[in-house]
Amino acid sequence: MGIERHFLSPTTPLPSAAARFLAGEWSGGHLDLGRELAVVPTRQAGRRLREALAVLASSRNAAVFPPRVVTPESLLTQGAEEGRIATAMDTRLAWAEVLLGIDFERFPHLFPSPPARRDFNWALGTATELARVKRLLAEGGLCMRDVAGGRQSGFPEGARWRELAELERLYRETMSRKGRSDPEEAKIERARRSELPDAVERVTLLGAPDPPPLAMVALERFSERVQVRVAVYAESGDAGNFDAWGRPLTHVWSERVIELTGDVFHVRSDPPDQADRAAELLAGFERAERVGAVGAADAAVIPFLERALPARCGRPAYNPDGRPAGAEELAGTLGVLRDLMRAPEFDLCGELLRCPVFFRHLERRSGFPPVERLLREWDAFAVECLPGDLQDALTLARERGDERMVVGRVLEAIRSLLGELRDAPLYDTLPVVLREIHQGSAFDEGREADRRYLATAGEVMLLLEDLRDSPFAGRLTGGADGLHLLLALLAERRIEEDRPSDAIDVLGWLELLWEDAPYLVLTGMNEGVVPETLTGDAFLPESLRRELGLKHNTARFSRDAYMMETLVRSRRDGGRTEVVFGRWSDVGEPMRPSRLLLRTRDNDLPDRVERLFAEPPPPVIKPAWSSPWRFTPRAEEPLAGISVTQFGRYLRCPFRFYLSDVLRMDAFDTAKAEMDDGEFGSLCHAVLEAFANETEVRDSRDADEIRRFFSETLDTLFRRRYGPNPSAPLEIQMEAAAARLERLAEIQAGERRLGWRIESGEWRFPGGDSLTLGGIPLRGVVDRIERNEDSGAYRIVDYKTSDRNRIPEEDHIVPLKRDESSEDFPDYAVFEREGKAYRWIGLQLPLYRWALRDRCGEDVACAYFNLPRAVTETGVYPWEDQSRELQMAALRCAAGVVESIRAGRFWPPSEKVSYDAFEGLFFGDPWDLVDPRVLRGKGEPK
Amino acid sequence: MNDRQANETVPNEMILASAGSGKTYRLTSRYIRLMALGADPERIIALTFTRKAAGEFLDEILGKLARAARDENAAADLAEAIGMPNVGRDEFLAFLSRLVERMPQLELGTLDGFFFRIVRGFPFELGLSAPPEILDENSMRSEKRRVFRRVFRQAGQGGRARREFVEAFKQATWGVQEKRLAARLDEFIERYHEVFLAVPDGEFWGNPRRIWPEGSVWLVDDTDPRESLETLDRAFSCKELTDAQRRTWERFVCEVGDWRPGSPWSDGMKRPLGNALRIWSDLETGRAKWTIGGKKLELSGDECLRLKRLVQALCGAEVEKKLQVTRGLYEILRGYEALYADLVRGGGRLTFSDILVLLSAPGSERPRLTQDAADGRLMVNYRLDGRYDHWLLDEFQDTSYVQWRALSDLIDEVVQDPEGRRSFFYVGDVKQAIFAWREGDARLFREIHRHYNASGGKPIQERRMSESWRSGPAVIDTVNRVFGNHQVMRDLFPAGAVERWSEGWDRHRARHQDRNDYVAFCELEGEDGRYRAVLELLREIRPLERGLSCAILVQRNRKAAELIQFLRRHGDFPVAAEADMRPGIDNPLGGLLLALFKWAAYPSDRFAREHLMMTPLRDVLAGDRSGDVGRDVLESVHRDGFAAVSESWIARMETLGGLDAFNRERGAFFVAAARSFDRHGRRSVAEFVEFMSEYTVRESAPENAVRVMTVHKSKGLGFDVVLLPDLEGTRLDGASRGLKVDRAPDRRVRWVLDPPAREIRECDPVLARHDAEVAADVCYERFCQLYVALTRAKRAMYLIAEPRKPSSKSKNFVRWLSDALGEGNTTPDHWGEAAVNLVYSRGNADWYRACQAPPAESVTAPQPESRRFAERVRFRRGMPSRARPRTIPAASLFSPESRRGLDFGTRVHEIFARVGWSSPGTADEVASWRDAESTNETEEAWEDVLACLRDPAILDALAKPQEPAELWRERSFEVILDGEWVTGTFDRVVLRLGRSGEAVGAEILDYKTDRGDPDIPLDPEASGYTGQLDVYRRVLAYMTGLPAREIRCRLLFTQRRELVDLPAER
Ligand code: SF4
Repeated sequence: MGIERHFLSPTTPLPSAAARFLAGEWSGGHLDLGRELAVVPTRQAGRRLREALAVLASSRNAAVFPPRVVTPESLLTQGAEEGRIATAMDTRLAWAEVLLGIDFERFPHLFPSPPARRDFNWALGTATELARVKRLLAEGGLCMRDVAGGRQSGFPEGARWRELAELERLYRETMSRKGRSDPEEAKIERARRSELPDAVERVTLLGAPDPPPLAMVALERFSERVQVRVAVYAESGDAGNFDAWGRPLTHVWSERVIELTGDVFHVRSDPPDQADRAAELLAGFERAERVGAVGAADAAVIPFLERALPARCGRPAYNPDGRPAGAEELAGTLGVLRDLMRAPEFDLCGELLRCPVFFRHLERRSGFPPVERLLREWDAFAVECLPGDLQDALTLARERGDERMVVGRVLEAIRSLLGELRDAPLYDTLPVVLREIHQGSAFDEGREADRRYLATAGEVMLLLEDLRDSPFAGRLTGGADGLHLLLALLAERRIEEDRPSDAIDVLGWLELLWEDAPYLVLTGMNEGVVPETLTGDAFLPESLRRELGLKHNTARFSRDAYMMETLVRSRRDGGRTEVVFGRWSDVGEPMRPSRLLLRTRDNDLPDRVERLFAEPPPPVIKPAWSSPWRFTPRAEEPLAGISVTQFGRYLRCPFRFYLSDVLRMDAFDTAKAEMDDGEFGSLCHAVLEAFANETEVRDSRDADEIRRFFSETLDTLFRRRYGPNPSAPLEIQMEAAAARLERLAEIQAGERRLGWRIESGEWRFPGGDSLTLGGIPLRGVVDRIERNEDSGAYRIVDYKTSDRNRIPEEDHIVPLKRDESSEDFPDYAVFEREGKAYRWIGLQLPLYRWALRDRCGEDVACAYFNLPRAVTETGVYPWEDQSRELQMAALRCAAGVVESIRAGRFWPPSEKVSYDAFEGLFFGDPWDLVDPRVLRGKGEPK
Repeated sequence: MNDRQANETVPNEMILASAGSGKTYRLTSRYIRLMALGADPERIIALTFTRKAAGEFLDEILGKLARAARDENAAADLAEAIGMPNVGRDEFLAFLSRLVERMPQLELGTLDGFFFRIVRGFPFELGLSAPPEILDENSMRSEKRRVFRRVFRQAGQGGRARREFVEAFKQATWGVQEKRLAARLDEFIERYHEVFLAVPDGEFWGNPRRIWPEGSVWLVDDTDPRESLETLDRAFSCKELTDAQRRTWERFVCEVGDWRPGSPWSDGMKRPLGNALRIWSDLETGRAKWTIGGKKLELSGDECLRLKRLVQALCGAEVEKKLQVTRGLYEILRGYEALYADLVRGGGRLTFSDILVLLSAPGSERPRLTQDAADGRLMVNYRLDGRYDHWLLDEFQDTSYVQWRALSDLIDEVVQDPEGRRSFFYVGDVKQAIFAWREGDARLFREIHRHYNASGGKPIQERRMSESWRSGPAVIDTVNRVFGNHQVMRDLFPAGAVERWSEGWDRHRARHQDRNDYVAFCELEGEDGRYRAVLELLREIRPLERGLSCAILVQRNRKAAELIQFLRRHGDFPVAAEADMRPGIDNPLGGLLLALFKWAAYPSDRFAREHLMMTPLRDVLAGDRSGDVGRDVLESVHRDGFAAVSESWIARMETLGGLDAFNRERGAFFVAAARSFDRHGRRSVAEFVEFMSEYTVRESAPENAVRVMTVHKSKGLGFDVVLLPDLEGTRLDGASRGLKVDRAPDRRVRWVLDPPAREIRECDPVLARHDAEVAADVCYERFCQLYVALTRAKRAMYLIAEPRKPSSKSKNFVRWLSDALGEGNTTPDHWGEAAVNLVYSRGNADWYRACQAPPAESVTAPQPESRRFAERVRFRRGMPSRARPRTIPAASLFSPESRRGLDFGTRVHEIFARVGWSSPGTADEVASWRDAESTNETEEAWEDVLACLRDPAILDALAKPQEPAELWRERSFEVILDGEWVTGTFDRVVLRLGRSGEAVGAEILDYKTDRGDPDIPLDPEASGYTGQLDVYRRVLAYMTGLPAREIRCRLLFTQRRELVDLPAER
């Protein structure tokens, strides 16, 4: 029947021109196009065509029986023998099978150096790359064998292509052994043999300036039986500039001048600026969605458009391309599961617990609290035990007797989930697991988020089905690999969203021909992006693509030149096209304006170059730093009791004391991998406490005996807390503790020989109201009370496990510096000794002494027992000055502190502190940024 | 123009260009000259370091050509500049058009970009499985952290591997505070991963045979220190010692006695040992005086020997320990690298330094990518679709050795081109080599020159450019005084560094001798004083109002931040930072968002919660008793990603308390950063918080503000006024800390060592030599830093420094400047209201008074047209199957049957679509189709249909009515109905026709193939079908003109073989 060209004038938007063309002579009644096949370049074009047909029909109060609308691609993928054609899953697996089986020595040109790891990961990556090469070749009806064979001797990389052809042969063999055929090869086959459905009486290729060569082979065949029409979106006067398929002729269009006036160009800096300019332009219209649309040649601009359009125009942006399925919630959850299957790290268990699907699943089961409590318990366990992996955590939970408690049961649930997944092929286990964790939930088609979830789940189920049906699935070594493959394929799919009716369309370059908005703002009009330029392909460089007759850069240029001209021309009357482009990419690469914008008459070129390569408008001056609010700490009841160590913190800075001790602001360290200062100290303390309670050894004068006791006790305590498999830093910390204790054992034996006997270890202040200061209970624990068996004297000892040696006096009082005066500090904190002014920075030892005054007398000695890192410095360091005056000053200070705390005085912050946990919170400037109303307290300090 | 090319060969050139002498001008002129000589632009490759500079290449070339193509005079100037006076306007226009046409093939970019393209062209050759992707800095940091965290877990399996790892770990962290092991190791890996990549062979790490091939002073056979100690103690007991000496000695004896190899030296050991090391060479001679207890003690020959042994033993243990630490670090790095290679690089995610490692592949035999072994063809050219005849490299002093190695094969070819048609050009300034810490290797400049000129190809001509187009005579005079007075430099700094400097030095000249410029160097006490002087000066000069650009250069980022705070608080002019912005943590809104995420995922984080309670969010949280807010945040993060959730909370903050311009702007950056995190599909809050805490955006300051930046950032820029208020600092040859990597002159690594204390190094010839070399290099780099700082100013430069204390011996910038510039006395002066002491000045102090701002160009961007366009109508999409949204239980969603159900349904519909008017024989007819076509997969569908067709009621429903009728099967439709665009498909419609063919009645039959439980009675209402069928009914009514109510709708449930009538809705 032949192929016939027709021209649709760009004076009308393409969808309606195409609809009218299809309708032909129709003059009323149902517009019945049921016997037509319409081939359009993209699915979005198909939608626009069908909508235009409906609109056309409605002009006569009629409906349309639409034609079959297909893309050129689907002409080649739909057919009878579908069952035998390999899915994407099959092709990846088959390639992987081939790649994992070959001998690299036989492929010296393809794989001159073998990969570091020849595992499934590598195979999958390589498979994806090879599948890509095959796809590119297939567009031109070729396979690797065709490239390798029949080249002249001058053909570069001939040896490499022969190896590729050999690899392809192995792949084809693998496929056919299992009765499958490669989808790309099938396409080639299909193009040559495909049959038109009987009902079709006419075929029309519409507004497709760049159909794939294979599609044309198929259309050519169809033309033997039915009429094939090619509708070109151009003036008929331009007929000479297109080939029989309506493709712009390269030599014409790559030379053609594109008429653009200077005022349509908008030079901008980066993608956000481009998006902002586009939105600004559209914001000039009251109902922008009815007049305008945005072309996003550069996908990097889209996310910023999605933000700028609502902000400036009050309209959502709609991108018919949809969202990547890999970014959907279900993909994320499956990703955590995959990682857990690879290595069941404890941190990953925590991530799984934070997946809503999983915690909702637990919440629905009996015996699990709401997620908030679940997480609290989990985190408490995590920081305390620092388990490495799931197994460690289970052991630890069991040892703590926690296995029936919440954490243990969560761990158990995760273990059984992973067990289930490991037990059988993924396609059997995963649906069961998914059903189980989603049990009891339902999805509402009316909600956008649920629809996305449903669509993603649908894709996952389809992929699982493909996996089940794949004859190559046996290659998967473990469930993790299968899940990895599944997720890799899922990431290639997109989830379409519904179009809100007031949305502004954001369309990719190739969709634009079919867009009918009179006001079109093109963004991302940069060289390399449009026309898309491919350079440096590892297999198919431009020169080879050209030689093989594949799509190449020049052909792309002429297609895009045609498109650019048509976009502008079709809006010349009653419309307008704006052109926005950037000088910098989102990652700071310089960008150039598209050559399409420089297709001007030679004489105009210098001006055009200067205009387009101009600097973008200067950025506005950045606003100066400011805070939109003042930080207002919550009012909290002052303390009900006070511990001896809190005094020091108040004295150092009352404001930070309020935050740390009253509000108890304590950050959760998500990266914790080792003991902090406090925990390291507690571990040593615990050993020493056990020692003090062990009446058998505590009197020993034998360093070895003590050492043995320390070492065994430490080991027991440490293993009990951190399990049999602690992390390397923990192990080293444990050894450090052991070394310190070892030295301490010697000193201890020496002190014992000097007559010091332990009376009690870890003496806790009596609870309740029996020991109060300024009206509130005083709390504290004295590490050790000793008595000398010779002199009968008492000694109060506090262990210090800091890295450096600590001197008791230096921890409690400091002389005022030259630039400090006693006015700078509250009265109670300052005192004089031997004519020199000092201030208190800690009250621990004086308060111990005061608490023990009845038992040990007023003059009892106090000391630090230091266990520093330099073990030569281990020893007992007494506080020399035990004078009554000093003790009185300390008590006066303590009373002052208590009074201030009870009066709620926590302001102002101290100027200089050695370490400020709150620096980041107030950007180093609490004075300006904090609203101190609740911190000022009542009355003036005494 | 090919005859020209034949006549004129293009020389190879090395250009040593001083600051402001027009490097880029020279490079772009050469580019145009090459074109004029007939070179195709795609065969010219010009590479530099920063993307910004790369972008400017093309802009400048195009700009020059555009001007010359339009204007005869400009054409003549350009022809002159490129040394080809015969080239005219038309030719420049032709070049311009050729350049534009070839834009996609032009290779004008960065070295990094070029290398990346090579790697992308050769994935399999480099052991990658797929084309690589570049990791930006921010993602790189979070990837590294992910790997790092696993390093600890790695050895979790137990057994030997684990013990070895712990051992290595222990060695590596020896001397580190035990409570910050992980954090310390993290810093360490961050810092030395690249060293490891450069030196992957453990043989070089902490190996005494490599460090001391001749043997080490310290590592003698293991003498027990105690033996020497006792001998000395006995000797000293009969010696006259002062009390102080005695006390010090006794403490020393006691503490050395307690000392164990591996523990640090205690205070009582440090000083005497240090003093002994100071007299090390004397100890060797046997005559020495040892300072102990503050007094010298004469030692006998035997005592010298004993003390020497003692020190050797103690230092030896120290050195031995350091060797072990180095090896331990190596093992840790090796473990880290193995994981990193597996998890990150193996997945094709590469950093630019990974790329260089791949290309240069130290320590392994990778195939050379540049040539095909078989036929010697340049494969890089082939795969990159390019062939480069002419190479132009800019800022060459910043090229690293590794980068050069990756390029050298390609450039060898050019230089050795037998016909001499190809060319190599490199330009840079060895005096501006401030990127040595980034491996910039300025020595290459000369080495390459020497190498190629010795190799006999076309020689590389050397040209020096020392005329400044940027600065005026006073600035240049000052530069010459500081950097040309090598005597002053020799007095202060290591000879090696000064030597190197003088080799690269030429006396500078100012091009614009008549420029009215000014330099002042003044002293001011205290940082506050200096900041105040800056403020007063700016108030006085008012540079922005006069249209003058102005920069304040500092040495460190922290100073920049301080100064900006100060000027913003006290000044009345815009100040901007050329600094890194951290949208996650440098603003209150970012802090709030991070706290919100953290608290949602970690409810026990009281810090985060109280933080939120201090902000306007408190009302939201206070009202939330059941924990729904946190839960909602967590759920929406998983559903929509961090960017979307951040955005919605930012919007909420706007309504709650309002945001200011600053936080609003930061919020936009926050969301953009979150989006780049989301791209990887991860939802971990912990990772996100880490990512955001470190996320940095390079912010470049607008020119219409006073810009504050570090000297490093100012490189390549020029400003009318430059202020330098941060010149203080430590000695210029201060030793670097951390691992020492010793390299031979040919850059091969000789050894790697975690160094022992300075005192020990000074007594060790090998380590002392290394230190001296490093010190000279460090010092040279600091010369360069000052040079860059002093050559930025066009019209005025103000140096402001702390007065030097007479006692100070520190050999820093201030000392150097006052030695070189100071004339012994100072003159009081006033800058605005600030009194200053001038040490030095040149030029005209009132230079600025004549400067007037040029009339402001109106830069109003074209505004959107107010013209109205015809609105087009876009209809809402109506989908009958969605008319009544269903609720889908998870059980059916994840049922393996669901897909089969779908396929099955499609089949059943297909078969029914083939059934026309039914007759008693229909079932048999269909059965015969089945026998011909049925397969395993379709079997069930056929059976279903057949079973239906055997049911008399159903058969009847498919039968032709009495009157004339039309039958539609499987008919799709599109229609605009009540303002909606409705799309759907009728399964089967029977139209009863009147006499003239008009429809008088209609019936819709819809097949439902659900396989619900057959025991549960049907409830079409609940299944959501009524909505769908109602739309069908309305569509058919529209199409036929019949009242919708009169159209009959029936559902055929094929599985249960049941027909259900759906009455019309009211
Ligand atoms: S006007 Fe300025 S740039 Fe021109 S010569 Fe004079 S000082 Fe130099």
